[in-house]
Formats: sequence, structure tokens, C-alpha cells
Amino acid sequence: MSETLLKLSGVRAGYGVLEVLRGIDLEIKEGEIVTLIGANGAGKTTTLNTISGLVATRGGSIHMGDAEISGLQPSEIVALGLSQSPEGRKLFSDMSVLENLEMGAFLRNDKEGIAKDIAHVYELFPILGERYKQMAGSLSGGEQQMCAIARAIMARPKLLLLDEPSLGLAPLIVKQIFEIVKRLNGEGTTIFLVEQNAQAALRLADRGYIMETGEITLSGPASELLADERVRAAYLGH
Amino acid sequence: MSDFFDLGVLYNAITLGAIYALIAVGYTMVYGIIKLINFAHGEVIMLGVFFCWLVAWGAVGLSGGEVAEPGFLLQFALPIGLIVAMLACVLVGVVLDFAAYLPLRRMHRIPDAISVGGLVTFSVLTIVYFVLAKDLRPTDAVPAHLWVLRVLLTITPIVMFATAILGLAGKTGRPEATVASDRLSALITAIGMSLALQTIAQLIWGSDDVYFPPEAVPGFLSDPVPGLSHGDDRLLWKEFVIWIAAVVLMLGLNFLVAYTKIGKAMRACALDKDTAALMGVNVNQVIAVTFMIGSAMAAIAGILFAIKRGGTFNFRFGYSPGIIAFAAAVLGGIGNIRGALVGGLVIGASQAIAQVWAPAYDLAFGFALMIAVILFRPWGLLGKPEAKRA
Repeated sequence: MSETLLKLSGVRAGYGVLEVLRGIDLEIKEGEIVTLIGANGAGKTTTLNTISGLVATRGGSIHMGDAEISGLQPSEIVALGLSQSPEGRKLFSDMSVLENLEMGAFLRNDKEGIAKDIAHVYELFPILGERYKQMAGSLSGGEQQMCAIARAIMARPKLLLLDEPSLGLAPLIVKQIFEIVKRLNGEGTTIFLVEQNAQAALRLADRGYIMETGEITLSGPASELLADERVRAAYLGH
Repeated sequence: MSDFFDLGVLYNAITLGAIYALIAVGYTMVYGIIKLINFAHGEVIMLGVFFCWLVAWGAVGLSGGEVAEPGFLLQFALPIGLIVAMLACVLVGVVLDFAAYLPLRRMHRIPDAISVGGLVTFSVLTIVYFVLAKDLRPTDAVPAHLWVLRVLLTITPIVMFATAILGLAGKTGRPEATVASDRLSALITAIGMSLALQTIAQLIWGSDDVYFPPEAVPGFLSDPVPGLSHGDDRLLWKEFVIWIAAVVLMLGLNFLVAYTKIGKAMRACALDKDTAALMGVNVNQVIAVTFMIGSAMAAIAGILFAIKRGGTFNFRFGYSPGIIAFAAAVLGGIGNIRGALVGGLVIGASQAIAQVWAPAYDLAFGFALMIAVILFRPWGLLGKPEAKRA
């Protein structure tokens, strides 16, 4: 169970003249929940988008299992078993909840499997089942986040990337969403969670990485990071 | 003719509207996904008509002049030509995207170079066209300096193609969100491709009007449709066929976009290409399919339009319906398929009415209407205002 699922070595990336990632080393093992914590603009989202293939690497390598995935098209990376729930939900607002879920399963052709997974998703998030015909853009913030996570797991990923699922949501909803994340992990999905809400993320995760201005400055088991003075001072508000 | 709202005007309005709608769909679908006004769309129409025309004459040739008793080939020359032209235009659409637009989507620094190059070529070509176009028609004695221009006109598309290949070869970028400057280079490239395709057609088939072989055009097409024709207000079969084609194709397109997997992928790409890619959608493939669908519909519309107008056309045939359909797409709300239908019918109706009242201004009314609409609703009749970013 402890095989390495994703490994980033010295990954550099950026936009135009701007270098955002300055050599990221990071490892995620099968079955883990790993969190990446950092302030606004540290490069967390860029890290995820580089893994997903939306942003090109300028150096270093990204391995998924034995396969080098930097340089592949985003669709090819999804096909290898990686899916992302992007920052700000990014639902297809003029499409129904059900259509959004179907888009999540875009690369799958097993009709029965998809129907089963949709039923499973409705069980995880009952509100989506009630609103499946509604346009995704008309959902509330919390419902949209649930729909975004649901859409991402419709791909049946081995590794699920979650970008700030707690953003702009009430604490009660955040708690609910994190419980679902834990349950998904229990069902066998490896999770890579990017968060600004360091406390909640570190309580949930097995291991964590702390990111500052494009570099990983600290890493270790989540419990150790929670107790670390520097982390407490910078991210936990103590 | 004295009656303002007579049946003939209504028939004409629907016929024109149907043609414009079928063409406008091509503009609007491509714009919806890559925010590009594909100015070469009109040339796809023209090429489609030429392809069908080739098949029609081929059928005449193969039938060996047995006009008295037309054989199977001659009887079905037009439908066969229609299908061949559709397939050929699908190919033209894809090649257009792959050769001219895809490299621009991939590049992040070279587009500026291409756009400057495109701008210069375009300016030169425009001057050549408007100042000297008449002299470029084939004559017995062509002065030497005109040959130089001809060579220039020939080289341009080749250079553009070479630039495109260059772009493909050096693919350094990833498909990222289209930024404003990229939109401009793509737009200029589209105008360049329009001129290039016109020039190629002119070089191959000449500048003079050509016509469909009368023996390949079934006679019944010029007969009135019984039941729908009353006195002077006649609806001919060749017009009724356009109605049928428009209804069938628009319903088919609506089904495709609403219920099929590729249709959902198209809508997803139109809303957010990056996120669609995160779902596993191959965005460039979806764009290629969009070009294919638009081009096939343009071919059908163009051929039916050419037949309706008596079967005579030349290399400039696509320009006018192309630009009118573009206005229709904008009027209806660019990016919106139903908007293309509504816009097409509105422009068609305005043209049909104007043809009775002020024939010299038949197009002016449609364009004035478009300007009026975008003054008060810049997003068009059925479009939605673009979301402002916070």
C-alpha cells in the first residue's frame, strides 16, 4: 500500500517571465492524504495545474507510478488516473448538475459503472441528487464545491487533487466536506489537498508540505507540522 | 408586388433566413469555443460549391452526353456532389484549423511574429486586390509586372502554410487560455486565410463565372411546390429543399449539442477550456470537430444557395453570404446556436422586405438592424452579457 503514486523532482514552472515554481520536490504514496499548505500566491495552484498538465514544466520531472507525465496533454494525464477539482470550483455553470457529473466521467465508456458512480455520488452528497437537473451556476457555494468534488471523483481517479475546497465556505460546510474527503480516502482514493485552512487540512492529512514563494520550506507528518512552532506562528495563528 | 406582406416576401424571407442561419452556425460555434471570428468560413462555402460543381461536370462527362435519357449518375449528380462537397469541406475545415489556428493556440511568443507577418501580407494583398484586381483577370497578353503580382498572390498562401508548419514544428507551449493578444493574431490569420483560399480558388478555376451543368440539375427543382404556391407567390422546390435542409440540420445540431458526448464536450469547452481539459477532454479535438460541423453545414447551405441563384458562381461566391451570415450571428448573439437561427431569419426577412421596397439597399437594412441591436444589446438578441471579472 505504500508505493509511490506521484513524485515531483525539482519541478520548475511559470508564466511568461514569471517563475512561480522554483524546484519542487514532493511525493505522494498510495492511500495517503497529503496536504500542501501556503499563503496566497505561494504557488499552490500552479503546482496542481503543473501536475495536471495545464501549465508546462520548465525543468524537473513528474512521475505517476513509473510513467513520466510532464509533457503529456491534460486529457492523457486524466486517463492515467489523476483528476482535479480546481480552485474556485470551476463548474460548467450553464450545464446541469448531472451534465457536470457526466463531464467528470468523460473518458469512461462503461455506462453501468457511470450510473453506479452517479448513484454513489448522490449518496455522498444527497443535495446533488435533489438538484441534478438544476444549472450548476445556480447552486450555493457549498453545493458547488460538493458538485466540483463529485465531478472529479466521477473519473474514478487513483489520485484526487483538491484545490482549496474550503474556500469561502461556512465552517459547518467545510467540516462536512472534509468528512467526505476522509470517506473517499477510506474507499481507496489517494488525496492531495491544497489548502489555506492549515489547521483543518493538517488535522485531516497524514503528511503535509509547507510552501513559500515557489519552494517547499517544510515537510513531515501532519501531527508534527501541527506542533511545529514555525507552522503555528505562520499558519495557525498562535 | 404592391402588397407589403405578401406570401412571396414571406417565402423569400424564410429561404434567405434558412441559408444565413446554416452558415451563421459555423461562425457562432467556432466563436463560442475559441473566440475567433473565422473569416475564412465564407471561403469554405465557396470551395464547397466548387467541389459539388466538379462532381456535377464529372457526372456529365461520364454520362457521355446521354442527356435525352439521363442515367443514374446524372440524375443523382447533385446529391452525390453535395455529399462529396460536405466531406471535402470537413477536410478543408480541419486543415484550416490545424494549419492556421492550432499553431497560434500552441504558441506564446511566435504569434506576435505571425500576426505582424500576417498584417503585412494582408495589407499588401488588399492593395493588390482593390487597385489591380481587374487587371488580374486572364487576358491574352499579361504585362510582366502583373505576373510578378500573380506570383506574389501564389506565394502568399504557401508562405502562410509554411509559417503554420513552422509553428507546429516548434510546439513549445501548452494549450492555455486564449489571451487578448492571441485573439488578435488569430483574427488577422483568419482574414489572411480567407484571402489565401480565395486566391487559390481563383488560380485553379479562374475569375470568370462558372455554372452548374443544366442537365445535372433536376428539372423539378424549378417547379412550384403544389399547395404552397398561389398565383405569383410561388415557392419553388429548390427553395423548399433549403427549408427542409435547414429544419433537419438545425434539429440535428440541437440534438448533437444537447445530448451527445461530443456535444456536451463542446459546451464544456465553450464555458471553460482549461476545466474541460481537466475532465479529460482533448480540447483541440473538440475544436476540430466544431470546424468540421460548421464546414459541412456551410457546404450544404452554399450549394443550395448557388442552385437557387441559377447555378452561376465564381471564386468570390462565399464572400457575400459569409459576411451576411456573420452579421446574423452577431445579431442573434455570437456563440449562441439558437441566436444564429434567429439572427439568420431576422436578416433574411429584412433583406426580403427590402428587396421589394428598395432593392438597391437590400443588404443595408440587415446591417443597419445589426448595428441597432449591438448598440443596445452588444451581446445580441439571444446572447448573454459576458461576465465581468471582479
